[in-house]
Amino acid sequence: MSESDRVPIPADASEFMERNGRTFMLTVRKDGSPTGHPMAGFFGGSLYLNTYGASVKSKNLERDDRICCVVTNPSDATDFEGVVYRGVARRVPVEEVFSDDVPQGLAWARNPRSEGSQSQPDVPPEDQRKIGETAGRIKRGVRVIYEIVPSVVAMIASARSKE
Amino acid sequence: MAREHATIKMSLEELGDFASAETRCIVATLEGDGGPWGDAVSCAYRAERLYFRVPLATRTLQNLERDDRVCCVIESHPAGAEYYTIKGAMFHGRAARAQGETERELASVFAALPDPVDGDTQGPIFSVGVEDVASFDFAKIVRRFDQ
Repeated sequence: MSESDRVPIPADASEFMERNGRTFMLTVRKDGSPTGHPMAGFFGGSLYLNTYGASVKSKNLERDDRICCVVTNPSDATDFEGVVYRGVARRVPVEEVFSDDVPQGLAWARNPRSEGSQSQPDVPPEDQRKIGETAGRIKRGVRVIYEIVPSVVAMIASARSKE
Repeated sequence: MAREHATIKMSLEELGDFASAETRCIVATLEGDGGPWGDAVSCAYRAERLYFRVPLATRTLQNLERDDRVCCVIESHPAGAEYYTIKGAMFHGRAARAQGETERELASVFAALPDPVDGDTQGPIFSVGVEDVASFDFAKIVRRFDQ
């Protein structure tokens, strides 16, 4: 899949992901079997994930960039709803992460407390690092951000039927 | 691996207590091209196996009929939950189709668990064991710092 295969995101799926960030990141393990990880997804223009570079999640994507995310409402919701978002993961370069005027999802992913605002996150000096200080970890390469370039995006009810 | 560190992993007993309360899971299968696919289905944990029902005419069922490798993910993450209350588990393995007496026993269990997506109660029941499970209980992160 290439950038030219990127599909538009349907309005209902987009609206749902703007309200819900609970994401199940499904990737392929070294032996070719599927695996999954619950995590936070940041949607705005595209879907972005923020994870440790040394994590299993990141290692899986560096070896095989194919990914399927299921974005859902909270686990205690009476009526389940979700979006299937399948494609390939693109590791976003640090310079791009901290450039100005980025998509809202990327602004949110680089600074989870920002709620998607364009303001650049503060990065304290190395000796003043705090737990949860995401932006500094991204700049130091400890955390990485992936954009999911989509080939299939739909509400799960319409996506699940066999082809 | 920070969030899957051994100290936040659940014991088998803790996993059983947690999984027994969950009725929905995200199921990951492999498409024909070998890439991942995801769906949400009903599930029930019994005797160290996670059972899940796959609706008919779904890509997930089609995938499992071609390649039985699966990962089922359960997570407790209620609205507004504190980070340190979130729990989850990922069951990896080969999906075994329930048959015979097991299938008959589970039929009544799953009759009360409509599919989370379309509300249906039809479809074969599969299971995956606990031989290859990753789990996390973020409450243990707090306890780790308390020590």
